[in-house]
Amino acid sequence: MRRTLGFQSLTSLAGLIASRQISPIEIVNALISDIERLNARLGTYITICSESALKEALKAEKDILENGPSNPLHGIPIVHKDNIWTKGVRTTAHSKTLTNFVPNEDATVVAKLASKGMILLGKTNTTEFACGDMDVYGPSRNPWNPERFSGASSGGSAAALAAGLAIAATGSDTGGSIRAPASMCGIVGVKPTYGRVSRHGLIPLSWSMDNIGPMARTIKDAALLLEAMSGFDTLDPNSSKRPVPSFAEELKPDLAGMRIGFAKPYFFENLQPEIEQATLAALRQLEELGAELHEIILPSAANLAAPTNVLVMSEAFGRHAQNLKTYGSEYGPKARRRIAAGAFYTAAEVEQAAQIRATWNTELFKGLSTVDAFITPTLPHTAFTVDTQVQGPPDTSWATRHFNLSGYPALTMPCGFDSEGLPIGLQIIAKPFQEKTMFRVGHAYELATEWHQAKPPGLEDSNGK
Amino acid sequence: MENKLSFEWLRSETKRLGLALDDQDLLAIADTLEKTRKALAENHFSELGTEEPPYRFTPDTET
Repeated sequence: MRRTLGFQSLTSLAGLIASRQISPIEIVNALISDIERLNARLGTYITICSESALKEALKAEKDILENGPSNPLHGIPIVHKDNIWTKGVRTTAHSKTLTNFVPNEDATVVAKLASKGMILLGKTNTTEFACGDMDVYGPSRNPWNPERFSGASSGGSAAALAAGLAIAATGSDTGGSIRAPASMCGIVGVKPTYGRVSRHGLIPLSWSMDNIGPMARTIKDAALLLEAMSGFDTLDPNSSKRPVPSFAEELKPDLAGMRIGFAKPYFFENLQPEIEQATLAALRQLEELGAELHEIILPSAANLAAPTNVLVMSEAFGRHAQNLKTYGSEYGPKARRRIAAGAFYTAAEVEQAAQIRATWNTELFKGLSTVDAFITPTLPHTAFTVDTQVQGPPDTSWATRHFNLSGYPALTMPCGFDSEGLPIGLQIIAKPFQEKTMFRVGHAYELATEWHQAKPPGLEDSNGK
Repeated sequence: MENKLSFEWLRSETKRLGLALDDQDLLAIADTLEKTRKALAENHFSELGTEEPPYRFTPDTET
């Protein structure tokens, strides 16, 4: 029973807590025990908050015994990517320059989730400043095969969920940093609409493309988390004043009346064959669930790597310029070089990049005007090795940067495995502030399939449990 | 048009900006800049034969 606790969905644990079949203390103890056993092997966590988590669990248990759970997140542990401020808990962004940085306030999302009674269990591994190496605390490995990489840059959060070492997590996504690792580790990862979730307290990379989002084991879990994380925040001037709907409501088992788009050029080119097969099978499944499929044309889709790079790294340099002067030699080579490159783009080049972005956004707006949601593979490949990540990884923003440029919401969810048993991700995109639509598509697909129930082999405890 | 970056220009800009970058850093940066500039130039709206796009970014302006 203990080992299986970490593989339960948030929703299922919330039910067990509400019916008093399990306590937050039991959940936290089980997770800490498994983290202590597996973290050295997987490199999932940078900081584990065992002592404070048990104190919080004790308080949650007392509150729940007295008054019942206040909401489905009450008493559930949460882990945050280590580039998100946590009051009193070091927040390193996996950088030597921040080894001893202990924020004196929580990021807005951390505070919002804590206000729902969630228990901070730890801080998860990431690449340096979400764009560099992992050479200070070591790499985050993929639970499906520890020789493989978990993905960047929210790889620690993704791996923690896949390994049953977390129930719920946060990540940040500037070009796909939630969706790529979620795809590689076989879990659900959500990049909300730009503005839906406050970024106050996120160590920034790119102001116009950074997002914080939930990572979870099921679509419903992710929907519940996003609802708790969302909303206007005076501390993030780009956060939206739009009301936050109940994302988990209206999740239905069918897709009757929904129009779903896909684009063959670019998004179905140069794919690992098993990924093409899995994505086409998923499209057929969505059709069986009642959706109408429509092919749409997005000619600029192939042209977005360079402008994204220019915009992200120019914005990143803007934020890091002073630190690069003072602590440049303490940055790892990859983060230092990628961020410093932003110093050398000319105004004309940044303007060109902004125009390509605007062209894409116009094209996407028109392309999606006739459909409710849009489907792509999340990545053209499954998880590559840790060595490949160090030497020079493939383009992991291949199908994800598009929706950071446009600000549209997108999620990834598991839709199959390759011949080596590595997960394949399906990306679902919706129109701005229509997260409910992508959750509805994902939930119906999840109910009709069993991919989300698979567990990585070889992670049993010494008693085989 | 000569696109190749002047390494000396990179060095002098690095010095002017006060950045702690060594020659290995600058070689890597020069490589990134060359590739990115080439791709950018190929995809300028004027090269693609499209109209200059309307400025539109945040989703709130699109709905």
